[in-house]
Amino acid sequence: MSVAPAPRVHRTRRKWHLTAIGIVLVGLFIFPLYWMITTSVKTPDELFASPPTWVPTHLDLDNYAITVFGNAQMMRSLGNSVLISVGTTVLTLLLATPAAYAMARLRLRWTGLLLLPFLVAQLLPAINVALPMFALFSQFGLVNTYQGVILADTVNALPFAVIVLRPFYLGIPRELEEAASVDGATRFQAFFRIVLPLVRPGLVTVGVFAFVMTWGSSCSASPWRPSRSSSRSP
Amino acid sequence: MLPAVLFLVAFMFYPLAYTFYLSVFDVNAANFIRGGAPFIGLQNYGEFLSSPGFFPSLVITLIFTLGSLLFQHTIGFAFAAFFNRGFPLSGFLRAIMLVVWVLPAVVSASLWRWIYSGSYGLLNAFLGFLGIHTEEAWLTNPNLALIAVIVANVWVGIPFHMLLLYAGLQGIPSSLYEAASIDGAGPWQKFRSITIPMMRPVILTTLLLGFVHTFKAFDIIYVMTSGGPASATNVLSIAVYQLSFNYFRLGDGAAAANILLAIPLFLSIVYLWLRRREESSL
Repeated sequence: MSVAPAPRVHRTRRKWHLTAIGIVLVGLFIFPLYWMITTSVKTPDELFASPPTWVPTHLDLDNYAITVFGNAQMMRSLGNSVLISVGTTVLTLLLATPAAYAMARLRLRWTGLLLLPFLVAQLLPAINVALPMFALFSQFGLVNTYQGVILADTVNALPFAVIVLRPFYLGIPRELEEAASVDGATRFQAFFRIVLPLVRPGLVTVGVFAFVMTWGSSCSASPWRPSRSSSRSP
Repeated sequence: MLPAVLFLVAFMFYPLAYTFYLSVFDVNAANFIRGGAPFIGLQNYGEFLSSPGFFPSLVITLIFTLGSLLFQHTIGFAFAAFFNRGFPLSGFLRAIMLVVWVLPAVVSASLWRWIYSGSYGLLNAFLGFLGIHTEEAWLTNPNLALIAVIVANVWVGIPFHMLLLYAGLQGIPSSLYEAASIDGAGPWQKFRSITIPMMRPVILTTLLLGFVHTFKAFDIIYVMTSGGPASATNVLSIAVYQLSFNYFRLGDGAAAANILLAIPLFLSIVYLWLRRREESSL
């Protein structure tokens, strides 16, 4: 297996065959996904046909129309997922934004110490958090509530959010804030007017990740999720 | 801004402390809400470690983790090396592979459950296509279920390894390979004497992250088999879940959870220590 980059001569002419191999390999790799999508638009007869058909003969959107959009239970689950994911994303951003800022601006000796818990939290098996959470929530009456699930999912998403967000703050020179304070801005004004707009790409990244992580999570929530959320039919 | 950090640390570490607290009491459904569970020290740990289910469960977890890692890593490396040759559309193809990685675990697990199903599963259809006709229900056969779950998990994990290893390969200066070619080194020699040594830190990091994530894997196995058939895929995280939420023995569950946490934590510490030693010896 050679990983040496080939000489630049004949670059495009020689490399299209690699593209062909790549398409075949990646095609094989994502074949199960293709299968999932085609199956979702097959008719019931075709679904259980033996041998199965590789390409659906008719496009049948009934699975989506009836099972998903025409099914109150399913729509409720979908609504739950949206509500919980959005709630978690908002809460994660609210908590991570100031926390990551503080960790970017603190003195060096302390950041190492503070960063460690966030890294360790990444190692935690979801079940280690789910168990004490369940115990706590049942004492505060949060089991089977949206607030409970949002809190639990935020614990999942938060460490990651802080770790990803911190470097964005580090990239903003302190001088900018100092200049603002010379002009008479308070620390908070400097933060909201100058720093925050500059880290917007970071906030978007973190928000998307928090949403995706929460959307896909089931373990942290399954003991107390209001109604099981599932995401695809059939 | 400091209060936010303190709040976060407390928020996350309180559960951990609480797990430890639970683990030294004999907590069950009856005395959990009421309170007053008797203090029993480390007895929950002893009970879990000496229970007949623990050792098989640990072995299954290790087979699952190491088996997954081995194939995820070698296949991921092969993909990374292939993409590293740089050809038209390679960025696009890499992006497509990542779709598999961001798929929610519940979705990929359901997908595989259904690939493995007996009479209308994709796998059996494919085997039939090759002339092997079988109605094997892969996930309900105790001899095959673990392998089947590992294959599914390998599929999910390949893009992650590919991504990190590709980034590592991109960082190796091509001048090294050019110099080696001038000295007459063949592809295998270049791979062994340049790629592997240069990639060592990336390989170790990827393996550690992969180990930690796989060791605690829960969703994918829970959805595919729930630990069955006949405990054939009962990894530690599922054992913890069952103790806590099926039998409601929260004290035992908490002790088991701490044992589950201890192993990757120990490995991470060894890794950090090794890295520190390596850096100081340079």
